[in-house]
Amino acid sequence: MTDCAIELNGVCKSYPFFDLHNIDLQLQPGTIMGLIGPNGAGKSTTIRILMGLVHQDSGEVNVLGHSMPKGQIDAKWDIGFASEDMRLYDSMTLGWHIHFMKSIYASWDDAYSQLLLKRFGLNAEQKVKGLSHGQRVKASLLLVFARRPKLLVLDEPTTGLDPVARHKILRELTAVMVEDGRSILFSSHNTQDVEQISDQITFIDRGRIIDSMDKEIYLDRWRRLRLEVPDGVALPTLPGVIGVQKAGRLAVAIANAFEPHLPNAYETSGARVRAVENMTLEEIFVANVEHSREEVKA
Amino acid sequence: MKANVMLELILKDWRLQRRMIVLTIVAGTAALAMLLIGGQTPLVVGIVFYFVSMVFCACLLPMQNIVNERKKQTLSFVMSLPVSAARYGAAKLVSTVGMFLIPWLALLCAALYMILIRHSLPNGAIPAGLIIMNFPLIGFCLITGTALVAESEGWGTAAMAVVNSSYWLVWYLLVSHVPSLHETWSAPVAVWSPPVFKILGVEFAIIVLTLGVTLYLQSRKRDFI
Amino acid sequence: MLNIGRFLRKNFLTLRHTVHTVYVQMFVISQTDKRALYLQIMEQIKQKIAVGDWATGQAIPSIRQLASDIGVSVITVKRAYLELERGGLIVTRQGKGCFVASDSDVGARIREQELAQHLEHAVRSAAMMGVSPKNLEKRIRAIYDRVTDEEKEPV
Repeated sequence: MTDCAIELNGVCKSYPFFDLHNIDLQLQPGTIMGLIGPNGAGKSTTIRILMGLVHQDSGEVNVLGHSMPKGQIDAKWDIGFASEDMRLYDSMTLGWHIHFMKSIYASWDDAYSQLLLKRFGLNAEQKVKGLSHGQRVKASLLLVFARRPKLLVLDEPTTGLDPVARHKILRELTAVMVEDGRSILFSSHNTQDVEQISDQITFIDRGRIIDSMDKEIYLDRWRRLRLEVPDGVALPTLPGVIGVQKAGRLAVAIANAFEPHLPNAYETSGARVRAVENMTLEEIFVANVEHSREEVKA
Repeated sequence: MKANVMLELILKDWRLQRRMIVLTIVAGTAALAMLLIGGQTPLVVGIVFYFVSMVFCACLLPMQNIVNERKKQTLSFVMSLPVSAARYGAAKLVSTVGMFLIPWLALLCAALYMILIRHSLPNGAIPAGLIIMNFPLIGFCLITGTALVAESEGWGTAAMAVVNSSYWLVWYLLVSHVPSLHETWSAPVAVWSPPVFKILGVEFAIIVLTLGVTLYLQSRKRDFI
Repeated sequence: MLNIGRFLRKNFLTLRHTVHTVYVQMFVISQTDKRALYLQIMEQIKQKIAVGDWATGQAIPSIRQLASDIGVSVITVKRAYLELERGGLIVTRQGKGCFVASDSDVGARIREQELAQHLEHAVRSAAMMGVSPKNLEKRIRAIYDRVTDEEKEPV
């Protein structure tokens, strides 16, 4: 599948206190992938490896058809990268940074950068050291957006932003998708953002990929069932249910492979299904991480 | 036609550091101007401050141009550009050394002017003066090499401390082992004896070796963030 | 629902804006809504059709354009369009784009689908509680009488 925008095959990287293990990841062109996982899960390391900033110990990395890290120079002409720990030059103005980017990238869209300056409420004359955290993040993203790169790789683009700024960034991200063939990979703690704009969700925890699939399919597979369990009824262990919490005569079952007949299975055992609820990505996140950690322990 | 990213990086470094370069030239020149006053005290003060401004630049330039990229977290920004770590390192070395040579050469010319045209010092001072001028240059190369390879403020500072405390020791050792150095520096004629050439040769070799080893070690690195 | 329809028709049918300016303001999705995103989008598209903002046979925005306008993933809009096409409310013509289905009673069909959904939900709830069909009929009749009486009364 060499027409993927990003492809990682069996990528491993070892650090003294952390291992990235067998990472398989595919980003289809023209889609947005949201990368989520707890702190220290390996999101930033994975992103650095696919940007060629860190050499993998083993495994293949292909970005826009270039093998990384060898082809990183060629690849980076078409990649726009911004990360949460990235800083611009304090003593220079935003306008200077724009000029700097313009002198490197022929694809720089001046009109769009002017529009973004207005939309983000930024002043090109202002020195970077005078910018607030939110303004600095918006400035870094402006420098990435205005190039109209084929692939955007963003490490926590909305972290620390107020709701208005976040909303504006999400708008720009989804606007990228109007042009066919452009792709975005972004990592975030904000499950709401990931849930809203991702076409595909990849879940990473403790250096391993737990899940990677189509967002709609993924959200459909998870359900929370609220059950009433009369005395004397034993709840069956059903396939697709990863956990049941019981307190008295009430129970909550979490299913990660929900089938329409699941409620019936409980009903036949004598329990009553009071509700079948969708789960938000945040709830899925917590349930998934707890479940996968238990599995590794067992 | 794709832009030359390495050139843009070098120009960027110049834009960021040019104030310090100009200040160094101004300070060194002002120090030399003191020699025009005449007398022992202005001579000593002038020469000392002349030397200090060179040393100042030799320390600060690597720290600001190299170590700050990591300290101020702008390294990710640079590495997101179409450049590899090897090219970044090469461009950084070129910009740092190039930017140091500007005030070094300028102040060297200023000193030669003071000696040959203004006669503030006898011509015999030229060989020893040249040897001494190479000290901050060597020190600069060592600090730059350490800063680029070790990528840490701690190591850069350590290199600075070692280098700065060595200047006088090396000069003392040289003077006490090479009599021809201080025997002739008050003479009206510059004396280029074999020991002088040997010392200059060793200094040049140290500079080339330091920069060469730096380039080699830099190219062997795998991770940059 | 009918009241809203009358209200919107009175106030918005006179607007002859281009398709895009109206959409950016009119699609509001909520993260706290219990329904999935694609269902919310489907609901709002159905409303637009029922009300006449998106007229029968009219071209509607492409999946990518609508996704950008709303600010959601392409895949969610794709799913919404797929379901709507399955329900016969929109059609995709290869190479030409997406259109509202050209049968004249699309609005009525939407309302019919909604009624069917509500009835199904009510019957399921009743069955789960063990209410008999006869009891259910009696209760539906009682509600119908009450509602029609309310509509006749001046408010």
